[in-house]
Amino acid sequence: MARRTALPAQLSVRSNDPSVLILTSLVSGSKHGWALTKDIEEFSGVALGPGTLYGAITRLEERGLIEPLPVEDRRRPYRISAHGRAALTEAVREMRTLADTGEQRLGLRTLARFVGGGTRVVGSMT
Amino acid sequence: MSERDRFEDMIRWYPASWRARYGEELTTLLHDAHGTANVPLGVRLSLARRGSIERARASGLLGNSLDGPNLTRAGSLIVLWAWTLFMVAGAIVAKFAEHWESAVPAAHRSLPRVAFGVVQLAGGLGGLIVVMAAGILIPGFVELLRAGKWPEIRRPVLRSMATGAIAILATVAIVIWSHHLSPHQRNGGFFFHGLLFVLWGLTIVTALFMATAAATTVAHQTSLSRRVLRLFGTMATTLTVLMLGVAVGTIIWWTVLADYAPRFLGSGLLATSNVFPLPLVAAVLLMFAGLTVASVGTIRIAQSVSLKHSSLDG
Repeated sequence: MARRTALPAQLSVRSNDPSVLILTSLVSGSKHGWALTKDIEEFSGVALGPGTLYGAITRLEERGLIEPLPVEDRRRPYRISAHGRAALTEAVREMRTLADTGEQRLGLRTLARFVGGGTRVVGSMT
Repeated sequence: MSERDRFEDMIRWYPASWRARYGEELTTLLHDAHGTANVPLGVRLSLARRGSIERARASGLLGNSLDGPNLTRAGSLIVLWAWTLFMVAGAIVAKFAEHWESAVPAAHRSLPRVAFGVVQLAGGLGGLIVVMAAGILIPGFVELLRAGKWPEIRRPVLRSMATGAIAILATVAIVIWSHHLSPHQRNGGFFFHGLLFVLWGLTIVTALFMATAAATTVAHQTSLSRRVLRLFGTMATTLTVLMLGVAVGTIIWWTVLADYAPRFLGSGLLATSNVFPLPLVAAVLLMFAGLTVASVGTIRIAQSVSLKHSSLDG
């Protein structure tokens, strides 16, 4: 059945939102269902159930945020699309703004220091 | 049952179109995650819940993933399901209302007569619309068979044929048997007849629901032109208006009878009260449920009008 496409890409700003977790996982390379589950559990501690995972995959594919690749041994890998990358970037920025605001209002001091040319953000209770 | 069959059984809650696209991947994931071990109940329940959500989305009840023409199709089919509920409710009312006129004083018959006439007229017109819609669908159905898609529609169609045949046989049997009983025995005076009558009713209801399920599967698979879909949308909207007429007519008729012929309401099979007899309460509750479902379908049809997407492939 044909589906409506090209809806505005909007992601929840919740860091445990399955769509955000899947896109974050796919940024590091294409993965199939089982590899996605393991990777997400490893970097976020969230164990996505198969129903939840495929519900999110269905919506992400409908919205053009991920793209299916050819099946390999009954497993279909997915990769993030340019549209998905843009949506994830926007969501991550919103999460950062939210985190900064929360940190500020909670009275947490943010110390930024340069480590080997990069920036590390360290939060501590004041 | 093989390993793969076991996992396929767990995803049966998902609609066929979804399973055709993602089914193999999901069963492979379940195999990767659980192998030969038992799948926890929580995972099974989650699959049932998610599958039901996907089913509701595919039928247009939830979400906004369908394009305009397919939303019209989905809305029309939702209204068809509502009509099935009305057919059951209508059958209950028709049986309950047999010979009602003789129970109401002549001076007070005109209003319930008009109300019951509206119920009969709306019911008849609704039935005609459904038959016309089925007729319009026949060429598409034949095309579907020619395209070799019989395996995709086989299960619901065969189920519908089997339950339909059982319902016909049960009807013939109960009619022949009832012919040998007295009017008193036929109208609640013989418990065993009453029991069999209820069982017969259940076979008819099952056959109706199976027929609607088969029609839904066929209509989802059939390629329909935009003109035909628009016609279905109009027919479904008309059907919703007719259902409203049936519900209002029934309530008016019931109210007048509760006033002028409470004894009539309190007699007969499963009649437990002079004002709120169980069969009428059940029938009107079914009508309200049907109207709610029909409203969702009609809203979907209205929403589809505003969508300009033109993909028509079914």
